[in-house]
Amino acid sequence: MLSWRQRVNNVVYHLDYILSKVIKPLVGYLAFLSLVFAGIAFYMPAPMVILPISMLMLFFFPFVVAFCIERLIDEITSGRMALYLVAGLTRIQYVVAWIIATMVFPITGFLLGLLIPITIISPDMVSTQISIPPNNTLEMNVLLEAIIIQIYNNVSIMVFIGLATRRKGMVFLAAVLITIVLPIIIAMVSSINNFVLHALLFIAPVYYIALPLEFKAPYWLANLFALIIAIIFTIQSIMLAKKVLEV
Amino acid sequence: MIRYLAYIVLVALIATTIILVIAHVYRVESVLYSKQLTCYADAVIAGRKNDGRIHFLYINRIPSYALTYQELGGYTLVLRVSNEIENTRVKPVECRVYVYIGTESYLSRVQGFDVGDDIYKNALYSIENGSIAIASCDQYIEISNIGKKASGKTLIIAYDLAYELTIKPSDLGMNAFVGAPNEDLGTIYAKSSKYPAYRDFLYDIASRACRSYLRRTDIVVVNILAPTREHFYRLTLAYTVTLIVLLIDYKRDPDNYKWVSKLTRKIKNFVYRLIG
Repeated sequence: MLSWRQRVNNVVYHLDYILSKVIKPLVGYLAFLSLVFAGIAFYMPAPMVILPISMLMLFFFPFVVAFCIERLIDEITSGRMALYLVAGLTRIQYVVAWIIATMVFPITGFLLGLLIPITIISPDMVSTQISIPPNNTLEMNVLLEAIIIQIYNNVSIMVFIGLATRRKGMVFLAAVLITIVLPIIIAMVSSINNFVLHALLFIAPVYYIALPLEFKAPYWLANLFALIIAIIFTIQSIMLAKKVLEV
Repeated sequence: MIRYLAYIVLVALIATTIILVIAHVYRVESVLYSKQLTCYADAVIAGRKNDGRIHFLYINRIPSYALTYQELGGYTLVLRVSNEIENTRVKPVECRVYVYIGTESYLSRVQGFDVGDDIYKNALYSIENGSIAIASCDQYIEISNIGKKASGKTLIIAYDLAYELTIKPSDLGMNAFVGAPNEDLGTIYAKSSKYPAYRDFLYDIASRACRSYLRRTDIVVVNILAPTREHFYRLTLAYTVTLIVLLIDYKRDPDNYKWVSKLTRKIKNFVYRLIG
């Protein structure tokens, strides 16, 4: 029977291995993110630019994480995961390592890449007011919360879809759907019925917060809703991964 | 995992350094080559010392995030100027500034109050208190109102520079008034061939303001943007912590850092090739 320390070490070893394979695109993206936010913090304290640029950066992130998920699917479909499981990793350790690599690590990285330039250049920016056209405002920390929850939400859905279909293309398709197609469809349908915009709560709390709506759920509720969806998909992904590994 | 997080932190720090260095160089260039600067945050302060001479100094970062639409009408900003600020030998100064920003239409829409009245009221209050009123006015009438009341008593810094260029201070019953840049500065400055360089321009308007008003008021504030020592202190601290973490990790497992020696070798080769 392994001790807790050994179990954690096993997870960490495998996690290190996974990250060594997927770190390059992630670091590249985060370098760009930091550069953009350092620029914003220094040159453009004008609050109106923060929201659109944050949304733009958020737009590309699921595609970066899709590369990590692609590796997972690759391991499962090629049968390499059996090699790791034979080598002393338990199924749960393997799954935990992958969950950290695909969800926890990218989100932490995103947060670091965004907060470090802000903290160094202009710490008070975290509590700054961001203007949302035409006449709303939002605190930067609320936006940050929404960004993190949206990333978690989108990534958990992508991991689930990847594990369920075990096809790499489906992960990228899911990224396109979540970040581009669905928000656009929702926005278009909302021209017929405004109520449809609330569907954004399922996948995109940031867009929901940013949209001008007369009757809108409060920010905390929007975030909580998206978070619950993300947690459901995470649990489902873990169950699915364990099931896949049994085969 | 810690190693990879440290990499991300390092990358973020490098990005921040690049921006700070660009900002630093860009500021210098703006003086030398008359390039346009986007300036919101920092300030040039002009003040008269006991010897009667006018001194200029920079203060870092008027919290321009404080100049958001939420904090309109009566936000009190205390500027502390310390000896640490570069190019200064003047004593620390403290002043109280009332900040108003935004156009009338925007303000009335967001805040739901009559901006004209509010600026007018607060300007009067700041005049009575001997401090400076900074007004952001897109409406001629607002400047005009404040100008008449402020005449001979205080200094109005209008955020919309267009007025500085189009309206004569005498129209407002003032000897001079000073424009501080806002987002529109680019266009307005581009149109103006009056000033050879941005900083000279700032000096110019600050000194004119001083000549006119410094007998009654203490300080003139003009915005400018530049990195400060505080930025570099924070940056150095962050670098130190990150490098210590990486060093500890390196001691634990040097095999993970083969890429460093590879990179060093490549850089060396490149330099040697460059030198020939």
